[in-house]
Amino acid sequence: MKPLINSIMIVTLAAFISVPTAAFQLKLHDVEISRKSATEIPVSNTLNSPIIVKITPPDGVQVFPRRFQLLPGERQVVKALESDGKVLKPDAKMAFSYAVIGEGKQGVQSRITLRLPVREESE
Amino acid sequence: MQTFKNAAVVAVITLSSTAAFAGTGTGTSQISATPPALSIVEIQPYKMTLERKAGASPTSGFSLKNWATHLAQNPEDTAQPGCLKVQGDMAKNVGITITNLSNPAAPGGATLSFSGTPKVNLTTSTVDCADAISKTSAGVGINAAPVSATTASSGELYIAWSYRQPATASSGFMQLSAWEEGIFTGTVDLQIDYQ
Repeated sequence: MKPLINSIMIVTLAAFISVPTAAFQLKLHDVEISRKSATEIPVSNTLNSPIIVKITPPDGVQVFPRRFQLLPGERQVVKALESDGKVLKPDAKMAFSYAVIGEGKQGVQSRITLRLPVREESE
Repeated sequence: MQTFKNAAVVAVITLSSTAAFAGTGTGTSQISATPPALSIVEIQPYKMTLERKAGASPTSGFSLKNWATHLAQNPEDTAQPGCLKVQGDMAKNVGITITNLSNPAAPGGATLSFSGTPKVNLTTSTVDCADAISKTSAGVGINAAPVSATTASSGELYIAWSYRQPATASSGFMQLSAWEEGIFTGTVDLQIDYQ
């Protein structure tokens, strides 16, 4: 019996250093912003798990909401507006980060931040 | 009676709208031309196996550089790189940065920490994950200059990553705090800058 127990004990230690199978989708590739009206940015969760999305705008841009939860298949429209009296830097970027909720128990997950260029709308 | 009335009202509305469609009039259509949606998908996870050597019974933690004392094989030989796919517009420039690596921890409290300055091998391909994995990387440090790449003419880009020399690097190798058989949990933060 002992050899059997030993052989069971010689199990492999697997360090799953992984990203959950995931897709996080944005319907645009850059953000065109103006002072006059809010830009609408739809964000979708195409995964089978709920996610938390966090948005970090560059200086001079306000966004709402900055942090929200999306259930599988759910979509949220984020509104962005240029702040008065602020100058947008030419290389300004808006960061969209997401993390999967409830899959943090096992394996090492990747947290991905997608940064999109922000440009002032030409008038 | 109430139900009947409601049904009658609904019927009337239906009929009248049918009539409207049947008649002549002007319609409005909205056609939007947009670029393809931008998405990130995981194709395969990074995996590494620490297989305890038959007869070895580590009583404390150890550096993976000393793997030969405790493990059946070099864990680097068991590593399977992780792979992500970015899908977006064609021929777009992308910059990729590793912004943080957390120490993977097992449920019982054992952790894998990095000694010195860890690096990640990061390679890209416009073809597939296998092609990205087949390329060589000099190693990318945390918050180092972005690795640049261009999406394919069909919009996709594959990004393969793995820890660089976790058991052989002179700096940045992994240390196990205690032997624990289980799955280690942690995070790797990637930043993808779309140009």
